[in-house]
Amino acid sequence: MIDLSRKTFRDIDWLLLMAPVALTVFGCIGIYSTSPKPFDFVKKQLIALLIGLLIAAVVMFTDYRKIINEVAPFIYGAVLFLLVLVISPLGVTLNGNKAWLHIPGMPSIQPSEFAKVATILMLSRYLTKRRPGKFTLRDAAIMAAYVFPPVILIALEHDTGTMLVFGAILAVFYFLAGIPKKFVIAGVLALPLALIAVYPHLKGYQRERIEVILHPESADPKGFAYQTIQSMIAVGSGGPTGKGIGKGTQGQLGFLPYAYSDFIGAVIAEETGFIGILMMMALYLIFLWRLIAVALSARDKAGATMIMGFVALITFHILCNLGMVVGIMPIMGIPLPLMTAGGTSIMSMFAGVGLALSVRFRRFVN
Amino acid sequence: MPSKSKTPKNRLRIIQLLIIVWLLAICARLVWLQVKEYPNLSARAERQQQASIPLTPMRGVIYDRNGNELARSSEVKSLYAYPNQITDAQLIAPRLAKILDLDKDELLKRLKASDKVCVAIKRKLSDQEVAQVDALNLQGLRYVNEMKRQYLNGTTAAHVLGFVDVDEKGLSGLERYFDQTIRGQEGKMTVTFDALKKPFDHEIEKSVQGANIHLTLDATIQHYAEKALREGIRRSNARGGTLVMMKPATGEILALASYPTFDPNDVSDSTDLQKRNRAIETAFEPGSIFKIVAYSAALEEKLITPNTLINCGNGTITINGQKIQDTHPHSSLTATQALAQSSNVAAIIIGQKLGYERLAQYIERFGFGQRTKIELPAESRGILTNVKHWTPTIPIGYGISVTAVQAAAAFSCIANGGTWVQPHLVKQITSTYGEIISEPQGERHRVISPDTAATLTSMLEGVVVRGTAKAAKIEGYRAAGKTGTSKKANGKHGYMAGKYVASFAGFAPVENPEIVCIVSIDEPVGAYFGGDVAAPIFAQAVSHALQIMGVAPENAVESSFVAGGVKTFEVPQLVDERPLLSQTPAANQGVAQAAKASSAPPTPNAEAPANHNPNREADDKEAQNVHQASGEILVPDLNGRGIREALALCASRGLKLQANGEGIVSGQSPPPGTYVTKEVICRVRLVRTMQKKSPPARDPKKPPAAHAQATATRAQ
Repeated sequence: MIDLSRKTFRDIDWLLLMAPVALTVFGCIGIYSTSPKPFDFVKKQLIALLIGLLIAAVVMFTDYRKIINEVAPFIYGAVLFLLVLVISPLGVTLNGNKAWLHIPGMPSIQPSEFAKVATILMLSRYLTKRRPGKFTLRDAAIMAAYVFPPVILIALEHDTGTMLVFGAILAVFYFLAGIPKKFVIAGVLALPLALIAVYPHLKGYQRERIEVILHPESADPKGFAYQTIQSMIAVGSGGPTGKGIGKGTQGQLGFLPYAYSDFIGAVIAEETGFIGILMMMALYLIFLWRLIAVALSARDKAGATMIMGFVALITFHILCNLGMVVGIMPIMGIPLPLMTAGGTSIMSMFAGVGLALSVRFRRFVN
Repeated sequence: MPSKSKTPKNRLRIIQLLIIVWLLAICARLVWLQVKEYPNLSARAERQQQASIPLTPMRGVIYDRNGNELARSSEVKSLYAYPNQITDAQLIAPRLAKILDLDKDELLKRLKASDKVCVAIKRKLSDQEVAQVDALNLQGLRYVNEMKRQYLNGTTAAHVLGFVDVDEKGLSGLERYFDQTIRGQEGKMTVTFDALKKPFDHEIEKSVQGANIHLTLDATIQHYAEKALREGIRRSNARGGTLVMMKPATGEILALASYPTFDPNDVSDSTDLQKRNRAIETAFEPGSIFKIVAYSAALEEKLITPNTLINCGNGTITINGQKIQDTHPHSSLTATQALAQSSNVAAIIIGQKLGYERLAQYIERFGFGQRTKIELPAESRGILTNVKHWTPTIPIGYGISVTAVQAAAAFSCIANGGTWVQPHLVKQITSTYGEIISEPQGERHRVISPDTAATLTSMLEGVVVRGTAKAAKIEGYRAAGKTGTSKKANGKHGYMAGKYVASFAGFAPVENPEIVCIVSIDEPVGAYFGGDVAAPIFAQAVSHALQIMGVAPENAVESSFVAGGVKTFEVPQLVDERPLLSQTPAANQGVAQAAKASSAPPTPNAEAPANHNPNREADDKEAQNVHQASGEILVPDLNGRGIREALALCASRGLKLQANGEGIVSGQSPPPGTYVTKEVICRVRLVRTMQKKSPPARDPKKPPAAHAQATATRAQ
């Protein structure tokens, strides 16, 4: 199966591979500027990048169909087990979310990141296994059933943002699996209604986080609106060209909370300005566009939907995170993929890159 | 050949489109934040990250004409607290409140204000307060250095100097007039804070020290002038009064006093009445002292001579239906007699001869009705109406109001030979580095001819010798002047019964006037004539000033002050006084040393003000000057010093001084460096020499010729 011929090497989509590497390095700038222990954090990030590249290499040369058909259930099962462990006393609470697993002697991991990839694999698997034909309500129910276990376990971790990510992945899978147009339209119309219906049942801080987006001028700058306001100040004070790398006062003086994790985008905007953040968004766009190109060229639906699930995952993260950073979306605790400090996320991203490359290698029907 | 994809491509395109739309929305938002709102948000970031603390510049020093510091600023500590670091506010508050004399509940509230990073406890603590606070050894307190203005001579020259507020802004007097000049340039400390309000970094923009002002005022003369004024006012139970002393030749103000007075070091308890500078702010109807204008004009216009007989109509004249009377009726008097007796009728007649138009011209040339532009704020221009609205009483000083400074300038015209010189307080303004920034030259213009001035001078001397101002006689000198007693206006075209302003304006010595002095007393009780109330104050103040200036006595025969050619200065009187000079380095080492020594020991006089600046160095000097074992006094080296300096030096050590001759010291007994007991009188020989060994530090501008001429006059 593994064939390291020159032809294969040439067949690697370098843009698809290098764009995430560049983004990870870009992220290190912000992490270096704002984390409490800059060298440690950057080192961890770079180690995660190396491991990620290794995973990508292994996955790339493995037939994705084999992964989907044979390996996915095991991965899925293992991830669910880890998620259970997270809610056990082995779980570690960070920033109010109980999402980390600390096994003595090993680095902390965030199983929910793996869970996203595992769920994408399981959903793709179902699409290959199911009877060909029209997308039915039964299909929708079974796919939802794959998503529910991790979502419920993550709900127990109080990680709202991650739950929303699973919702987005499921929606994209429905969409690509050929859900009838009327359901799509119904869904699009139902979404705002659902939001309005849910709004009164939200917790006080959640409502306050939404309020600041709608009425920033009347928000309490010391309350839950603090982060959004500080983030907007950070982005705005960066101006067109930024304050210079390592010179972002908002991030460095601690006004910007979680500067090296969820608000890394604000640090980049502050230090490198509009030009810098535009470059960052261009890198993401290249990354996504290459992934979509792979999906379009995939030989089978399994490969295409798997990649698109992955695209959905990344896109949802980027858009929610940047939306939050610039103050047009409420704070949901969704990190910026590849840039936010966090090894597990990087590794699962590169696993996805590996899968995409694997699909690309096998785009031609022999 | 590409494989047949089962993926619905159009749906992928829709997803791509959605991504693009959303990214564009974020881009638009980024443009809004980073381009349009950039200045606002940038400022907002700065505001929450930086605090700017102004650095008060060192205010310039105000010196008297001899280089003695009158006002200067020094660093003091202000106390602040960090409420978050104070754990036992309940315990601390009462103790701090007691030391700092604050309300303890208010203080407790401030110490517990946990939403604030730093709260002010008290600004500008005294050294004693600092020591007591330090002794408590508390956590969470912090000192910030600030500048505090100190007026080293207490109330002396308070109205001239003025005072500053807690932020060192000049509120009155010279402090206000020259606020921009001496304030200096404010510096700034920009502190960058982190989100927890901890200082992270700071940047300092240094403040620039303000310019120094050197006055024409002489602190010693001023002190004696104030003393004479105060005593005179107390004698006559008056409401207040003012005294202005100036050099007629130059317009330099030597002393400018106002009473009641205040301590500029602490104005919190002072009333507006105390703070009012009567010499320039209060206009009064001058009464008879104003007659000099009509007399000068008539002499200048050759309408009268000193011997012209004036029919005084037995003390009554009716003009425009207004009856004007003399205190002592006369039928006929010469002009000189009329002035000496202060005949109102005669002055009215002279005014009639002149005509209002001509009189108005002279009034204007003498500087009345206009500000003198002396360097003080809130100067009054007096009240002078248009000729058309005049009352016939203008020649006798009713229906016009003048300030004491205007009157002093007018009398200077007569004393200096006919030239109006602008009264001014500032000799020069220098930068911190000693370079001269400005050296104002007062305006001057001719008013009357030297002949007229000389004639009038002798007539005015007659007032002192034979007329209403006998009490203005100064032992050892000839003085000239004019009394004035005016009823106080009630503000409704009438006058208040029993309320007077008693004045005397004059100069001495007659032959070569060194000092013009006006004294004006507000509402004396009992005796109310200027000659009884104001003239003695003039005599006392001018007599001291002439001695201090080393002006040679003119009339040895009349003077009981000079016996056998030996002048004896009663030094113990000086010792009883508060220290005259400040304890800082002055231009002249000797003066400075004397001053240092004098500032430290407590003076026995109850009037001595609190010692404003205890100076350890001064204590050391004191120890050197007084022999520790026996209490004997070290005799200072007086050679080459003027009489005034020698006096100050001896006074500071409690030595009596006897001087023989005039000029500067040349030979003394006992010799310098010996220790003597208090009873020993230090005798010095004074010689007048053209080639002085050391240039006189006191008045370098004074031409030696003036002294020589004075000596020559005495020889006649």
